[in-house]
Amino acid sequence: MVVARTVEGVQVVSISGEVDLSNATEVSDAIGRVVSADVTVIVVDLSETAYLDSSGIAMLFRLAERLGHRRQELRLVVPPDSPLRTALELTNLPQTIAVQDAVE
Amino acid sequence: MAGRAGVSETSGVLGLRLPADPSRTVAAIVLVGAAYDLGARLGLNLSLVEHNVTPLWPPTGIALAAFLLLGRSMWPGVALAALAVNLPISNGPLPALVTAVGNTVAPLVAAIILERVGFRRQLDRQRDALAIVFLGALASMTISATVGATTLFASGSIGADELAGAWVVWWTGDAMGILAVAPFLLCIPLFWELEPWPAARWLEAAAILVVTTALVLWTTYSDLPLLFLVLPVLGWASWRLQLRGAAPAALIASLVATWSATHELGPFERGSLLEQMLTLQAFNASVALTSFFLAALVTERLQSARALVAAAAELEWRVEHRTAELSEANTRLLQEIHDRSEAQEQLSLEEERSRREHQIAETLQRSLLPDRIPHIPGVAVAARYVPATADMRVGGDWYDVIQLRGGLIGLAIGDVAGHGLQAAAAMGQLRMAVRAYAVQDPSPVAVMNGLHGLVSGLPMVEMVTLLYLVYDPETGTVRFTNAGHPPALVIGNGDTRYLDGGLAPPLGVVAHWDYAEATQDLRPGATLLLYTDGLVERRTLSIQEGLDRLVSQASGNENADVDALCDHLLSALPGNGKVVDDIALVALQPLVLAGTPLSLVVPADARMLFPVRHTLRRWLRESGVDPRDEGEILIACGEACGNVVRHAYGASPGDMHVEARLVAGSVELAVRDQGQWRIPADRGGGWGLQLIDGLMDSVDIDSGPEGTEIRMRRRVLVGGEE
Repeated sequence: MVVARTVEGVQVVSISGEVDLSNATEVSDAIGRVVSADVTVIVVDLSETAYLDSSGIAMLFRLAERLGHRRQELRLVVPPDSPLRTALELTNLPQTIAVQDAVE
Repeated sequence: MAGRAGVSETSGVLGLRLPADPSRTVAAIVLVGAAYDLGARLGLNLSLVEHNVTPLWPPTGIALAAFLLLGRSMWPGVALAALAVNLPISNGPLPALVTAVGNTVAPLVAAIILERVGFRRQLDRQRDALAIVFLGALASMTISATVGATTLFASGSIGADELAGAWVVWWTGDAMGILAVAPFLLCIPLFWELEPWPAARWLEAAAILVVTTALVLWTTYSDLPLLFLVLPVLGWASWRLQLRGAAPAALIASLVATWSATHELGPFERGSLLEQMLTLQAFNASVALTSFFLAALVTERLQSARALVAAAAELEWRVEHRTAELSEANTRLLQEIHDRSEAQEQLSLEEERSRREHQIAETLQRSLLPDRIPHIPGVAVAARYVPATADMRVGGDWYDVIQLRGGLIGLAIGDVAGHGLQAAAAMGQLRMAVRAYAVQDPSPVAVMNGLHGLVSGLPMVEMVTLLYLVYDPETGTVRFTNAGHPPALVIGNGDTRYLDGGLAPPLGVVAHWDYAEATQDLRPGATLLLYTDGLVERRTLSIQEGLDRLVSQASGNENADVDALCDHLLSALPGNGKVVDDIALVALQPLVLAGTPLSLVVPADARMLFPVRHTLRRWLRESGVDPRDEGEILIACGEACGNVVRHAYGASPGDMHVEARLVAGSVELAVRDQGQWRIPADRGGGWGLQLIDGLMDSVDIDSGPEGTEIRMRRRVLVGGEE
């Protein structure tokens, strides 16, 4: 499930549940629908994301690229104890997209 | 006179009845008296010797005919005329009176006797001929002869020696008077009473009379004793015209013969008086007997012939009538046979139609039911559908097992009221509707609300019972709403009971309903059983007894796998091998995963990634693997499975095998397919392998023509210890 909220010019999009090959495109489209063109920073919060596979990671890369074209910055929130953390690091994602432990 | 006559058959005598009019009776009496007088004058003219011996005395015949035709009340006419006739020829008034009495009594007695013996004046029977000859003429006339002869002797007219001769002459004369005259008079009314003669018959009668007269006259003038020649002519008359021809001919023959005898002509020329008398009386008797007997015989024969013809006609009519009846009965029978055969044919057609509809409905129903139960990892599911065998009905029972988002499993079982094609078609629509609503929102309340609206809009559906459940393998809970369906049964762990909550009326019964859901835990190893009423209903049992039997049969088999359980229930419950109502049955059991290796075979489909992952997660948790290891193992397994889904089979379907074992503190995973592929180097795919490599301690890829297998191993913490 994708939920978005905006706090002080920053849009936070929370993804809850699991993202895999079967629904990565769906989640991507959902984010695309909620992302506002007026904000400069979009934070995708993965705190409530129980599972994210490589198709989800690829989706995040593409999202970052798309937002970059629009001069918008993508940041991720991944808690330190998230089961996703290792996987994200293995794909070198943190080198491209800023990853923070919490939503400020 | 005769024109007013009525014919009565009530007595043997067929008399003419005059109306009870005294003046007419008197007129008739006067007429009879006149006729008697006339006859007497004729008779006296025919006497052989002076006025004493008369061989033919017509008045006697006239008197008898009058009594027979007009009644005995004619006696005064007869008596007075007799007195008048006898007065001039008797020795004084007394002898005349006595003789007149004798002359009156004799024909009166004759008439009485004849009436007594049932004489018919038509003389159409032999017994009538016999009666008039022997009773009417010979017997009765002994009275007048005795009275007359005695009076002659007493009055001194004759001597004692002449008495016998006088008696004989008197007797034969009276008798001949009756034989010659009475039949002739009696035959006259027959001309009106019987069928009229055509002209030819009249001519024939005239010819007979002429020939008779001529013949008798000729013989009387001939020297030869040829009187008998008249007999064939009388035979002819009797044969052809019966009494109406014979009586006049006989009268003429007798009169002419008697006249010739009185004039001593022909055969009567010679001989004594006695010889003449004998000859004459013999002739007259022969004439009378011949004509009347023959006439009676012929009449009888004709009547017999007519009766025979009538009988034959009647027989023919009866035969025709009966034949017509038979023919009608036959027609009716044929019609009935035809009708029956048509009805039979109709029945056969109906049966055939009904049988075909049954077949179509059953085929339709089977095709509308899930063709195979989805293979859901970590969960065993079995389903059965048994059509009714007791009659030709196909029910509207149906079920479905639906894999939903988030690993949820939707279960639905229902019964559409009614049977046959319509019920089967409605059931198909409902099943698809449940799928559609559940995919949109799996919650029981949402599904029921959707279906409620749908059923309200389906005119052909009267009532639908539906039990919808959604099972979450992750949490081990069942949420359900039951719209009028027999409750689901949870079997296992020593506690078998029905799921009684979440009740609602059947769909389509009420306009609005606030649906609510109930929740029930379903632990691994327990079995959830859904069924339709055909499983528990038996004619001899109450519903409660049926439900109790299901509990006891299910409890005794709680350790059986779902297929064995379904088979056992179907064989144990309906009984008699006959299924009265159709039965649908679905059993679902979350498998106990801990302690044994996990082995899953699922279609290589992206939608299967979630249930595979969740089953593996459940297996890892139940096996006590540390949550931190769990998450990363899941990602590694998911990547391996994702590769199979994307690359192993292309567009073709194929299976994916996932096996997991816990060996010496390590989780060993194997993901296998039977496809032909190479690990691609594109985005994501590359990451997939990269992730597997990074997350697991060791990875082996075995790729060949028969498929690819990725084996992975990772040391894990089990139960908090490494």
